[in-house]
Amino acid sequence: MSQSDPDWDAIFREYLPRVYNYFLYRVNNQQIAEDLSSETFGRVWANRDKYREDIAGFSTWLFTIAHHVAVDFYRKQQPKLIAIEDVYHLSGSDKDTPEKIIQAKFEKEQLARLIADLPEREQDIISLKYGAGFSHQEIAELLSISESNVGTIVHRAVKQIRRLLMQEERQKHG
Amino acid sequence: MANDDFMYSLQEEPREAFANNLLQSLEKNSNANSTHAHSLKRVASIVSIIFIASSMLLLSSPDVRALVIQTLGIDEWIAVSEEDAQDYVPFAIPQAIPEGYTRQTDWRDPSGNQQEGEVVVSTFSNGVLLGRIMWERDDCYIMMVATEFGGSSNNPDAMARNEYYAERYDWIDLFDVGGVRGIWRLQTVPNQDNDRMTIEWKSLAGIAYSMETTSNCLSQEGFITMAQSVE
Repeated sequence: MSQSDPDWDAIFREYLPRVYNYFLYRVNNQQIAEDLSSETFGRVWANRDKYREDIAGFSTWLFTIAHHVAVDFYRKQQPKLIAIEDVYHLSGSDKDTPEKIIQAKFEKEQLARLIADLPEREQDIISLKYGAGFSHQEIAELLSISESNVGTIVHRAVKQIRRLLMQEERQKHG
Repeated sequence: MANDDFMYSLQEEPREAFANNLLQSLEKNSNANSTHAHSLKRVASIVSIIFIASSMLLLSSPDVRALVIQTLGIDEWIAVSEEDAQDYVPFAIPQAIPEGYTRQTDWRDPSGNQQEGEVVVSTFSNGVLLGRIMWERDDCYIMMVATEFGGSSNNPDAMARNEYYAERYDWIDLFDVGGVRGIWRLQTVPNQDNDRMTIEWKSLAGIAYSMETTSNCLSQEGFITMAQSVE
């Protein structure tokens, strides 16, 4: 890539949402996800002329950096509780009723909490798949594990989350 | 897998103001940096040469060696502490001998004859073989080979790096690549007789490096377990 003149605006537009959502799934906090996204793109931008496509695909390179940014973040962090109110902002269109907005927020909070309860490795993989939109094969390459291993971890994690969601739903209505 | 659409429900668009600010900030930094890039690079090269010369003299002292590990720059590479290296590529080169294994060295002399005892530098058609270390336990061998692709035995810089590696004996440093520390790829390639892990990374000078680990008796899972055990 360093040899050509890439359209960095296009790259930014394509990858910012994926990087941002990767962090959002990892840290469950908008502000922190923005900060970590900024840090990632800062590193990418500063080293953009050093990227070589014969070494790694661009998304692999970018998300390797994002992964390290996340590792750095967790290393510096002391374990702390994040108020559930801070996890996700109230979102919804004008057409949504307040009840629907609250319901959607509640479901998001539930899901975010269950993802946060996963072991860090599983959180990372879930964030790469559902936040950044990677395939199992791409995650396997990025994390240097086998594709079948990724599939197993994703399957197990989603199954567990689904089971806990249903369990909570039953308790709510029981 | 059954329907997992609900797992995507946390996704959201980044705020537009955030995206715009970030893009503007990146462009601003880029413009500011570009005017100084060449002069900084030149200074870095000169400093590197000084450090290379110094390191050959200093590395024999363990105390000074620790300092050199922290500060040595070779051809735009910045050595990081062993602790940091473990964080970023923990399984590239085990810092501690895995339990039950003994360390041996295995190398080839310029004639291609296999020798034991010290790591040496040799060349081959595609680059420079920096060295290799073999681990052995109960006739189970794990071999780690580091290679510089695109290197040349006639290139003084490459030779300086190679001598440095050889001097270090076990070349345990890994490198911070311009603050990125992450341009590496690891593949596990299972086959009938041997499993292999290949780790690739590159210097700021664009020289590609690889490290290949092979074993005649470890499964792919075994490799990963062993690699993780030294994290």
